[in-house]
Amino acid sequence: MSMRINTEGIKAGMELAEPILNCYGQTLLNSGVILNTKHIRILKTWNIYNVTVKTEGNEQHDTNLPSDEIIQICRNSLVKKIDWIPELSIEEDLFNTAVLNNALNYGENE
Amino acid sequence: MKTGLLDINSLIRRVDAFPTLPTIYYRLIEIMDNPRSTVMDVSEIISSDQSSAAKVLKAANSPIYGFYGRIESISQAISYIGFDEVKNLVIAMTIIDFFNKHFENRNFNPVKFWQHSIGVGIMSRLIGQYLNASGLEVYFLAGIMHDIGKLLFHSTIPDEYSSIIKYAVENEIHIRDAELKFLGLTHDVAGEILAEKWSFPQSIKCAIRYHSNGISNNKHREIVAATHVSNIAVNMYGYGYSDSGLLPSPNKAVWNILDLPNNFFSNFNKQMTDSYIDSSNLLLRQND
Repeated sequence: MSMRINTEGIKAGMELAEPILNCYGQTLLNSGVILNTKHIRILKTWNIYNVTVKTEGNEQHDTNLPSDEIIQICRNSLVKKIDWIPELSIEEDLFNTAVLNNALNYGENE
Repeated sequence: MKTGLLDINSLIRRVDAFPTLPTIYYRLIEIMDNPRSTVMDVSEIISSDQSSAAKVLKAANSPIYGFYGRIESISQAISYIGFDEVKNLVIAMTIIDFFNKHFENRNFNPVKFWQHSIGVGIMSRLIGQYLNASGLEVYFLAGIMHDIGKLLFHSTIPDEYSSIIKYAVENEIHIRDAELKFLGLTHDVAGEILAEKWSFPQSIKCAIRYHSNGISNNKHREIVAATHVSNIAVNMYGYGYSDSGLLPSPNKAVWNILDLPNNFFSNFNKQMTDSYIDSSNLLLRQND
């Protein structure tokens, strides 16, 4: 499980759950890296404000994750917007990613 | 609604009456095509255009790049955020500003339109990056400009085009089919005519002309294929709005051209979303 936290809240020993990328998409630090004081200092120098770190299980997790109900609504809505059925694996990946993005923005575009 | 409203000749006559793009655009495109151009060349061109220089400085000092007011000159901006990034910014801002200033249509939402185009540009660039392609700025700009044919329709036949979009949405058909039915030509062809007038590079002209089908049998086939897939994906993601009616399936042949991994979209989704938000904020809030 993971949690998005402000750089100010990072403590040495925390493990990155997602890589840290710069604005060009280049990886600065890979996921799995155990953060130390030097990393924390560098992150501040790079003006990185938030990072996603691994958590132990019972903390408050990503509260922005859409519910199954919203995902289902978005899935049905997307099926109506397209006139094709995903057949290839990459098309299924595109479809599922689109459903997730619509669900994450649910309410904003309605 | 009348059918066969436009033919190519009448469209060309309308396009001939269009204003040309600002000089800075052509000077930067020239630089883009010249492999021997230097940071100083770009810096001089941008610095000589006050409005563009101000926008670049504002963008370079925005939180997206994290330099917070420390960038004071164009050459500094180029050194910090990169030669290609600055060129992209100015070209994209020039095109967006130009359309927003010259063409008004009460039925048309330019913000949603440009959000879609920016999204397509970002995803095309991600695909280009994955392919290890050179000239990633062309992937980005092809995405930004792929739908200029729709802008042409919105500005030359605003009421008719709004009715055509409405027809496509209500009847759940592709926008191109509705365009063909009522205008006799599609936005891809219209966009190519405008791109010709404005002397766009061949690669971008190809992306505009063939983005709906995704196939172009020339050296720009990857850019065309990337724009095709990105256009469909960004429409499906709901990033912006491009008056597309029913969304067509990706052309199967395009997957073979790009040879992307099966988890490409989920794998790059965070990067795509973050870049989309950053770039939309940067390019669409310049006049705030």
